[in-house]
Amino acid sequence: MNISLKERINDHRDRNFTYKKSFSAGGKTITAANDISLCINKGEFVSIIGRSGSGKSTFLHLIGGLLPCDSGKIIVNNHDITTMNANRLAEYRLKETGFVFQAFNLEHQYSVYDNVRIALVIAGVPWSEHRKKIEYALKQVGLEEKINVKAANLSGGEQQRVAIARAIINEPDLILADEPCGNLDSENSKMIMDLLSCMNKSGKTVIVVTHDMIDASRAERLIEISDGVIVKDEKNINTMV
Amino acid sequence: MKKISILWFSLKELKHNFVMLLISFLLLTSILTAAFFVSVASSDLIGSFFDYISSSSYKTSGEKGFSFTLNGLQYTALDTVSDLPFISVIPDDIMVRSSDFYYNGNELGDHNIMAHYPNPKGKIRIISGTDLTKEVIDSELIWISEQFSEKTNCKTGDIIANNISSNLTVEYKVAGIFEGDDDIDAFLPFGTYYKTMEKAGFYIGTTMTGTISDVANYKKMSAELKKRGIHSESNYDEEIKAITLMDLLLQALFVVVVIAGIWTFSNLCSIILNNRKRFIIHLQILGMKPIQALSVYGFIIIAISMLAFLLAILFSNIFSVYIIDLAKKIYPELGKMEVNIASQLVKGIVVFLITICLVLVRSYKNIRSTELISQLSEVQ
Repeated sequence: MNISLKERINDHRDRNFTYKKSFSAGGKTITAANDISLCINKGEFVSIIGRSGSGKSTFLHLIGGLLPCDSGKIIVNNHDITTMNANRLAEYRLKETGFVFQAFNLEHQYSVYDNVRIALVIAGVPWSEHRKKIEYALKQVGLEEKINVKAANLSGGEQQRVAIARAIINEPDLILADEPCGNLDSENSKMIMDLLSCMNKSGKTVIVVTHDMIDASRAERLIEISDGVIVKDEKNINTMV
Repeated sequence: MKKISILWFSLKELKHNFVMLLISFLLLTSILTAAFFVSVASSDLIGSFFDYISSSSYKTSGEKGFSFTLNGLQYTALDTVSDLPFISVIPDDIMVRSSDFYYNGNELGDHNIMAHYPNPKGKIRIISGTDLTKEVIDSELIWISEQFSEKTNCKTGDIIANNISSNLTVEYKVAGIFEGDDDIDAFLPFGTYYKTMEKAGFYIGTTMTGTISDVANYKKMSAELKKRGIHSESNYDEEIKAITLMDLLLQALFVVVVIAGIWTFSNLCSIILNNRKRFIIHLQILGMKPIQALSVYGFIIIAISMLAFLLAILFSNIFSVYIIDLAKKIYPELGKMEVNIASQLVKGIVVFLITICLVLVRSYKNIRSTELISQLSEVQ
C-alpha cells in the first residue's frame, strides 16, 4: 500500500503502489487488505467505512505502525514506515500519531491526570510542564474538573474524552481513531465526533474508522472498504457539522 | 525517555502489583536463605572438623596440623621439599646398628642407639653438656643417657667409635647427657649419621613427617607431592576424603536450591508481566520502545533481587552463627568455626547476576512484539 500522507500535491506515481496484509486464522489465509493504494493529504478529515471484517481497522493499524505490512509501502511525511524497526516505529507513534480506540484503553487504577500524563512521560517532556499541558488538554475535551478522578469512575464518554486528550497532548499531526464511538450512546458519540472535528479544524489530519454512517458523515472524505478492497473514495458533499 | 520517567513508571507498577511482588520477594529470599545456609553451614562444619582434628593432632604430636608421612626418602630429600608450605619436616628417628659402636673397646650391641633430628618441642631433655640443635646437626658428636653414663662410666668428652666397615671408623665425642630414657641409650645427630653411612656406601631411606596447618594446604600438598613422585600418606586421609565429598554434595545442594529459587522467581515475574501485558502494549502503542518497557520492570526486578540476595546472605550467616554457638555449647571441644563472608558475597554476586540475566531475557521476550494490535486483541 502506498498511503502517502503529505501536503496537497497531486502525485499520481503514488497511486501505482499497492499494499497487502494477510492473516492466518483457523488454518486459512485471510487477506484483510488487498491491493489498497491511496493518498491522504495533510489536514484531511477522512472516514473509513465498511462492514465488520471489511479490513478498515487493519488499514488504520497499518498506518499507525501497529501491524507490519506483507508488501508495499506506507509513506507518512516522506518516511516509509514499512522499513522501520520496532524502535523507530515507537518513535513514529510517539511523535507523529495519536491513537483513539473503541475500548478507550485507559489504565483504570490511574487518575485522569496520570492517564494523560503517561504520554508526556514517554515523550520525555520536562516534568515542570506536565501540569500546564495536561490541564490545557483536558480543558479542550471539557474534563478539567475531573483531573483527579480515577479513570474507573468515569462514564464511557468521559473515558473516551480522556483518551482523546492523551492522544493530542504531544501535538501529533495525525489522529487515528478506531471506532471511537463504538461503545458510546448517540449523545456521547456526537461529542466525540465534535472533538475530532475540532482537532481537524486546528490543522490535524484525522482518520476515523467507523461503521456508523452518522459518525462517518462528519468527515469531508469517505472511503469505503469491502473485503480488503477500496470500493468507494469520494468527497463528502453532505458534511454534517 | 529519561531515567526518572522509568522510575515513575516503576513505582506506579510496584504499587499496582504490590502483593505479587511481595510474594515473589519473600519466596526468593526464603529459598536463597536456605541455599546460603546450607553452603555456609557446610563450610563451617568442615572448617570446624579440620580444626578439631588439627587440635587432636597437636595433643599427640606437639604440633597443630595435619601430618604427612613421606616414605623412602633420603636425608637430602629434605631440601627437595623445603619449598613446600610445611610447618616443619622432620625425619623420623632411626635405630642405628649399635653392634658397630664401641666404648673403651666394648661393643655396644646390647644398647639402643638412634639417629635423632633436632625437635624444638623436645622429646629428649639434655641435662648436661651441649644441646642438640640444627647448628650441630652434621657434627661428629653423640649424646648418652643418664643410665648409660652410670653403667659404663662414660662421660662428656669421651669418645665412642663407630666401626662402619673394615676400613672406615668414625669417632664421636660425647657432647652431653640426657634425661633417663628406657628406650634410648645414646643418639647421634641425624645429619652426621646419614653422611657417615653415605660415605661408607650405604643407602639409608627414611620416613619423614611433614606437618601442614590447614586443609587448603592439605589439598595443595597432596597434589604437589604426587607431582614430584613422592609417596605420601596422611593420618586423616580417609576422613578428609569423606568430609570433602560431603562438602561437594552440600555445595551441589546449594546449586540445586538456588536454581529452584531463580526459576520460581522468574516464573512469578512472567505471571506479573502477563497480567500487565495489556498495559505494556498500550505503552508501546503510545510510543514507548520495547527496551524502555523492559527497563520499567527491570528496575523492579533488579531491586527485588538485590534486596533478596543481601537479606539471604545476612540471615544465613545469622542462622549459622546461632547454630555454631549452640553446637559449641554441646560440644565444647569443637574447633574454631569461622564464617567466610567474602566467599558468600562472591557466590551471592554470581547468582544475582545469573538471576537478573535470566529473568530479564525472559521478560524481554514477553514484551517485544511486532504485532502489537494482535497481542492487544488477545488480551482484551
